[in-house]
Amino acid sequence: MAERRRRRSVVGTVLRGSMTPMIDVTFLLLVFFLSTTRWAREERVIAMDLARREAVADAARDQAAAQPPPPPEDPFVLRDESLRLAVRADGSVDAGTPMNRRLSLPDLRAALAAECRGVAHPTGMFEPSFPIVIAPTDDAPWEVAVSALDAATAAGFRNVGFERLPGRPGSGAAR
Amino acid sequence: MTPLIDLAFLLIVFFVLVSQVSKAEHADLTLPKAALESSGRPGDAKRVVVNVLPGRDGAAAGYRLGRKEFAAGTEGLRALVAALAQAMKGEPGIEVNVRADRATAYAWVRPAMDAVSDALAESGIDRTRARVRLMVMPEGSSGG
Repeated sequence: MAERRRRRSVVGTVLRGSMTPMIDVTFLLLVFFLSTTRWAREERVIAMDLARREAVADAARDQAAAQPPPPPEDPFVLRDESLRLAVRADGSVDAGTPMNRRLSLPDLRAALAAECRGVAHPTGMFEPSFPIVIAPTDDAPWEVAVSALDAATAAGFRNVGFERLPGRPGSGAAR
Repeated sequence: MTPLIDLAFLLIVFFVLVSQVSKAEHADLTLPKAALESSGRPGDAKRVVVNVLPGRDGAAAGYRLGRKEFAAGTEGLRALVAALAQAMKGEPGIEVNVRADRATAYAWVRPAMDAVSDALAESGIDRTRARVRLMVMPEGSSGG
């Protein structure tokens, strides 16, 4: 009886002794996977609407077909319905009519913010809902394109998107 | 002791699975940076991720949707549009995240965005505008 009890206790201590390193390893793995998965959660998103490409193509065709002869030039009429920002690979930005300025990416946000009408800039040229169209060149890096989009959004504009090129489905092959 | 080990292994299995899923969705690339105020946190809504796989000299090596890869040519893009349209049919409110490397030229990222609007047209969902979510890193972080 006494012998059996002693054997049981010996088995118990052996089991308990081998458990600790296993738990060490499991927690080590846990910490490892926690630290490697964390970076994905830092990513943020910029939500953006895309124009329907067929709609763009149709609108352009309709406009070309049913366009009346151009009226005489009137310098007081603001004809452009959107501000086009042509973005080049070197980071220079050509702001189209009616702004007509060449800017660089670091200055873009401040320049656009000054033209965004609001409490801070009551004399700004555009309402925050004024459409801003970003038109990067083909060789412009994605970083430059996103920086321009980011600058326009951060300046306070709420209607910012990339320029759409009309095309057939699946024909968007690059180069 | 036993329940503790059970729990630990459960956690390990969970994190292994999670890291595999996020690896499949998140190709190894460096995202562009953006200011905090213009970007938001990714929501919990159902989503698909379109990765523009970086190639040499700013070109794209291909596109990846979930685990499926597509070549960067016309054929591959057509297949990508079809796959996206299928995902949209199955879940009309699905979000499309676009991830591209900051050095990839715009000419190679644009087809990925075009594919999203083409897929919406092909899926027949009655919505005039497709919405994409561009993945960025917040300014000041160490990068991806």
